[in-house]
Amino acid sequence: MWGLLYKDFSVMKKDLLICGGSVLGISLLLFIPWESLLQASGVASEFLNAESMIYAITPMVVYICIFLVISGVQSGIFAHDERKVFSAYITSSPMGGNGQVLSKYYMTLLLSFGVVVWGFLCDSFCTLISGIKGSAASIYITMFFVQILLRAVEMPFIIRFGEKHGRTYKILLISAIAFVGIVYLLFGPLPESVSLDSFFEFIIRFSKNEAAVSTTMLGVAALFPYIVLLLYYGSYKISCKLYQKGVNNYDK
Amino acid sequence: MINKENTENSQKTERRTVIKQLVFFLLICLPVTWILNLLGDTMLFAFIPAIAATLTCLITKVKLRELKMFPKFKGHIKIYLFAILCGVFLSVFGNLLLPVCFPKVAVFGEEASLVVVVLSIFLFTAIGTIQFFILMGEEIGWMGFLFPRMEKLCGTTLALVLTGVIRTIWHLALLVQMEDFLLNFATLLLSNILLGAILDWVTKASDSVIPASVIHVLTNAVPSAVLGFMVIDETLYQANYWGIYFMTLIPSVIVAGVCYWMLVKKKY
Repeated sequence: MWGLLYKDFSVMKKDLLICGGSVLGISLLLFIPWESLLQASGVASEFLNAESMIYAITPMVVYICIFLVISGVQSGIFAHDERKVFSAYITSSPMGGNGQVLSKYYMTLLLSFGVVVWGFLCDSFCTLISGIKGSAASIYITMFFVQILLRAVEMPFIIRFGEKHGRTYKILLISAIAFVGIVYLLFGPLPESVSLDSFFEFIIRFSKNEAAVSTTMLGVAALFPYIVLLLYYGSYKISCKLYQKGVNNYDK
Repeated sequence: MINKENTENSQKTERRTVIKQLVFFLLICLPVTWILNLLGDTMLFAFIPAIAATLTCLITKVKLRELKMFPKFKGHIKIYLFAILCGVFLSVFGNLLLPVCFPKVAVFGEEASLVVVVLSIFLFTAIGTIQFFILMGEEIGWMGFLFPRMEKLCGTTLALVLTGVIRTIWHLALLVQMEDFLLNFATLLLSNILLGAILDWVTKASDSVIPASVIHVLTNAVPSAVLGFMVIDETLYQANYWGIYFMTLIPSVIVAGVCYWMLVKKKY
């Protein structure tokens, strides 16, 4: 399995180098002295909030862009292996199809995890240069789990239907579920107590209860990582079952 | 007779090589870390033991594989799960005893319900585990490089004590900047020796330093999940400092004792 990971890194060397360069370029935004620039342009005193907004918004924009770049690379990890000949070879090896699928899941996890490590290094260098202790860990760790969740949903489709059609079928299925759900909520046989008015009343009552809001947010934040990791493992198991069927869609 | 002499000579040569490696490692690791700490760094210095260990291996032509940097999940998944549970247990249990044994020193605040505290522990555990790499640099140096060599020279027990001493001296530049240097030095030394037994057993059982890094990060991060909800009387806390400290060490003593016994009996 480690051999397959090494093979993936070797085949995608060029993509990874371009990705690394892009990540480096985007990360430079974190080291720009926004405060000095704002002062130089004469906006600082009126927009002190803007100054702190810049410090809050900049890491968010940077890490969203970095995760988008990594998503692009993660999408490409299947393309070079979608060959019937290679699939037949890997299925006949001791690792089998399950090992091939596992290596893709590990690769995806490693690429996302690399951003977390990179984020920590950026935080450390920012602290060293500016002397201000701060961390964007809440942003890049949340993005890490969001990205793993998105990959967990997407990968069984790609493994079953191939890279070209897998994403299309995923979007169609999610759109169909959302459409059926909305039609049912609008026109379906709902209980009398469930209505749009009662739903909004509940939201307003809930948002006025500070303790309930903070406990709910804490609960979501605390349980989200575990749910995502369970879903990722479940996605891996589903992909293992779908791998052999997916091979029939590959080119020779 | 000749074979016995040859064996003794080769053992002496091996000891000399190990001592050279240790001296080289410590000569890089300690001063560089002290300088970084004195310059105000509190994050990047954690990677210096790994850098020192890697340089020592490259110069003395030791295989980098010996540093056990990579995970080995096959057959060792239980050790990784144990590492997470152990880290949480060591962090939480001792601190939960604080309002029970010293109710005048610490009480849980109004917002601290059972649900909130448990969710907070879950959150800090997840964040801590993901960030295991922050302290992996330390464990590569201590568990991957230093401890195996100390154990070759002077046996398990003395190696645990000496590794704990070196780990504490490594923090010297940070300790010097704190109030009450001797108190902090003594408590850190005891913690390092106890934690060392746990970390070493986990490293040997999993053949990787990653579970040790997970335990180390969790013991640093998860206590806040419980202590953050407590209202502590600082004056009474200082007055009862040693009692509180030894009480919070109880879980570490139990787990370290079991791990030490397993190390000595080579059950890994």
